Amino acid sequence: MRALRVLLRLGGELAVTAGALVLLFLVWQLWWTDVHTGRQVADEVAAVSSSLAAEPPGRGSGSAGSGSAGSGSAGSGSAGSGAAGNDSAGSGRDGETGTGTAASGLPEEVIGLVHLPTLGEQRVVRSGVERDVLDQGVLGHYPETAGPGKVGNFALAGHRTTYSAPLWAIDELAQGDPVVVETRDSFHVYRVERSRIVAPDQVEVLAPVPDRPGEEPEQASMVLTTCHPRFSAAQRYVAYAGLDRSVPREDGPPPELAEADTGTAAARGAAAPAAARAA
Amino acid sequence: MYAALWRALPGGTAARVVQVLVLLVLAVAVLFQWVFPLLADWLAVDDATLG
Repeated sequence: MRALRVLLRLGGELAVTAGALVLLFLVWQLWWTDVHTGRQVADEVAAVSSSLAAEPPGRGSGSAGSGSAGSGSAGSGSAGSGAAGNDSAGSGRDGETGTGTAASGLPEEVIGLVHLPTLGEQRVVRSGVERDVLDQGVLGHYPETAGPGKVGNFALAGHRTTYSAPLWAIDELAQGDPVVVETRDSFHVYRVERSRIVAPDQVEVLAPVPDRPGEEPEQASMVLTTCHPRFSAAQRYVAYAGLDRSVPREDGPPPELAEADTGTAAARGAAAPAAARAA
Repeated sequence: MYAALWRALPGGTAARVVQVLVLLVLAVAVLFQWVFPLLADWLAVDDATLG
């Protein structure tokens, strides 16, 4: 009888412990990663923004060349036909993922900034779509795809939930909404064309001509991929955009960007994203 | 299990409560810092990439 009681108590304690661990994991995943990453994101955006502004135009224009950060593990080789230029540019720094620093102090794997003015969102773009990149709350550039503003498909991924969720509101992007990609030498203004939901293995989205693998690209396009539905990895949400125009940095920021900055400031000031996410 | 732990801790009730709290904080720190990130990699419930 006593042995049974000891056994039951042990079983009960283990079950309660397991339940507590599951709850704790949810707290960590849904709340802590957001808080923890969110602290760094605003600072990083500000730092990259000022570094980009300080950098002399012209150098580092081959931002697509920063594809050395783990391109081997991106796991989508079948979509990589548009990547010809990237490997040669990155080959000298193989295995050097976080240390290469440009003259301005901006790491080479930092491609620039993406502004989503209608969402009040600004994020750093880094090369690579591995978890350790995306978990910094940035947008990751699929290294085998075209560079910003280039003919081909500039493909980015970002978290929709957790890790400060850069693409939390991707479903609110409407046709015609600007997506401004700020690089070392240019502002590339894309416009959202459409969006759709795909299966996680539909890599044709990343093809040089999105959804048409094997075709030769003639236009500069862009896709943003994230998970769908929220808090699930069952599907992927894809927003497609096409290049409207590219403006050299010395011509100053495009009007769309001015909206972006005020939008972001307003959103941050009201702490709206955090509240929305908690709801 | 927990009863045995409680008995194993030295000191009076107050001292034991303090020790239990310290152990709890340590456990949560280890989980948040190392265990959960590994688990998240494995679960990948928020995978945002294609391929």
